[in-house]
Amino acid sequence: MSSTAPSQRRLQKELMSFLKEPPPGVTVDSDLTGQDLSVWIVHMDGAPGTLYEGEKFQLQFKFGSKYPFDSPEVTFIGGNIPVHPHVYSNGHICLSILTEDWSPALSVQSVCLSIVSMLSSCKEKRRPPDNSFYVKTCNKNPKKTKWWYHDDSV
Amino acid sequence: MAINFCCSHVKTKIHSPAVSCEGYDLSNLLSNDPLHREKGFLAEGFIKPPVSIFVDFFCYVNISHVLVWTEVGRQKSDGLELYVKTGSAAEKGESSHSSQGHGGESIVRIGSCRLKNESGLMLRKYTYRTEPIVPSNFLVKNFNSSSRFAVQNASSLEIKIYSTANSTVPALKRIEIWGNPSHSCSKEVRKMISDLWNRANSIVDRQPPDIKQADKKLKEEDSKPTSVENENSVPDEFLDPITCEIMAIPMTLPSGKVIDLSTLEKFNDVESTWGRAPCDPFTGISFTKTRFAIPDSALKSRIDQFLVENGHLKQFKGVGRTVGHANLNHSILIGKTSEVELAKKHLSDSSIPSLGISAFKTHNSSSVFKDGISHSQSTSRDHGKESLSGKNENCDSENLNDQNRTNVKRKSCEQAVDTSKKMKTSSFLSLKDHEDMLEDTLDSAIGSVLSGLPSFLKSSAQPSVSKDRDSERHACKECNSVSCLFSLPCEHLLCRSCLVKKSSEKNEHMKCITCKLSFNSGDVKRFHNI
Repeated sequence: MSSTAPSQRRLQKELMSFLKEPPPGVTVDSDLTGQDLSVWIVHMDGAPGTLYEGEKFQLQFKFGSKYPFDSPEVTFIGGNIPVHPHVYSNGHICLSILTEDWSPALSVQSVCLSIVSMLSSCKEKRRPPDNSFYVKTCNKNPKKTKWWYHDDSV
Repeated sequence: MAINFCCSHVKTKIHSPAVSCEGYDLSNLLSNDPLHREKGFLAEGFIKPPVSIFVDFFCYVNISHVLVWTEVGRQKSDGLELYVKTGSAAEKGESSHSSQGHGGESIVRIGSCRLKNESGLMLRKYTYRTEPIVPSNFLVKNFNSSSRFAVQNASSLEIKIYSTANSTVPALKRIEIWGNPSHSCSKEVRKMISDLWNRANSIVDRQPPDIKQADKKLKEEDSKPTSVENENSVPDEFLDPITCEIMAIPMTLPSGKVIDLSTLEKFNDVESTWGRAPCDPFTGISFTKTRFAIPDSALKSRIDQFLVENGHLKQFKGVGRTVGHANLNHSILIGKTSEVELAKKHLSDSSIPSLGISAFKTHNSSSVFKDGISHSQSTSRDHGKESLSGKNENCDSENLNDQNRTNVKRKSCEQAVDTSKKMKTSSFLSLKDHEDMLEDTLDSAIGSVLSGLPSFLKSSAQPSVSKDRDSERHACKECNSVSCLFSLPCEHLLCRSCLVKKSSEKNEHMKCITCKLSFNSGDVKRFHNI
């Protein structure tokens, strides 16, 4: 496997460390990611003791050629998209570290951990207030959205 | 078959009234974990001898010999006394947990010692048939003759540390108490103990291969990615933590992390698109005058060494190597020219006789400098040759031993030769350039300096000076000579000879020939061509 894109080596390392010590309740679909490192599918279990206990979610990570300087494109996919004030019904996530607060020092593991904690700290299951409007009008790529991070508590 | 009773498998218990240091608990002495066993026992810092340690056996034991290691690191117990608690036969064998009080029990001293340079004590039965293996540097003693019967029926062993070397903390590295269940024990108890011991031993025997297999597995796991990527051989410290590539110019960040300069620049480019100032990617704290990234030259040299040694490997072919030669030469050049300029200033300020000497001096020093360069050049070349020949020799010697390895090595040597050749030529070129440039600047500098000298040097100075544009601007307006210039109030220049001519022709009203402005001889100033 020759590393052509500059991000390949980093992704390979991240995959290895992810497989070695995955965050609790999170597994990477290594069959799918093994073929193409630029798209990862991550399975996530709702943390026990939270509103999402027992639920299973799927996250899709898409890495651009500028990764790790540019943030990955992270969306929920599959049948079960968590009902959460920061997750739109099309799977887009309103999380600052996925766009402007991204740092190359972050990794897939830390992003997964952030999303797990975002879900875990939720107190009421509901969609974002502007969900229906956003889902109709938004770009396919959540990074193209100009997010307004109005809530720091969750 | 002898059993080591100082082992948790045979239900031995250990206790002491003394507090032990954290991590150096008494239980280490019984532990089966080699890591714990390695540490041994250390009393807490404030504990002074005597310290007693009691080893209670599950049944009565016929002790054959006792081994005590007394050094933990630099802590050493050097005065030991050993006692055995004994009881009459029938009491313990039947009911192991019912203590009979003082009735049938007695405490007997089985031995004592004062260690000097020895690292431990071995107490043994005088009549012990098979000679136990004595660890090196051990003091060997027999049990006290009076304790002969007591050691055959011991229910517990007490080790009393009554003195420590250099007033260190009471310490015991390890204890081994070898023996068999006493004859007074019931058959069941004896069988149980030997079963326990056998099982424990089989575990111990089984452990090494298990560990080896685990190691192998680990190694296999490690080697898998190596075969795919051939990347794991690179030490982690050489890799940029963000891009995971080998660093070309490692920079230490204020957070202490080291990343490549290119990564930092890229990161700061991205940060600037968000309107943020350059900062540490790990902390997000922006750089200031006192808080910024500095190059890690030590790491850089280690990376370079690694790359030179492993440069033949495929995966290192694309790795960028930055060599800062050009800048270095430039700085030397600047340094030298500034020196020349200083000399120039000095010359123009001083009187004529000293001028010649110091001019001569500058010339000399320049030639010395040149010599220095050529010398260093030649030495560096020699050095290169030496190292190359050394490598070749290495190759030859290896050749005799192992052909395969030699091939690899030779390849690496060839690579090294190639790279060093490249490096040599490049450095040679740069040196040559440098030399030429230096010569040019020196020539012009000396020329301009010499141009300030009086007429006896004029002929020699003029040709070189006439090339110099700067000095062309500062030339006499009448004869175009550049030596010994004077400036008129109108800031036009005249040389001394023309000025003298003028002053002899018209005493009072001298006029500048360019602007026809009249001037007095008192207004004329010496012009220094700096």
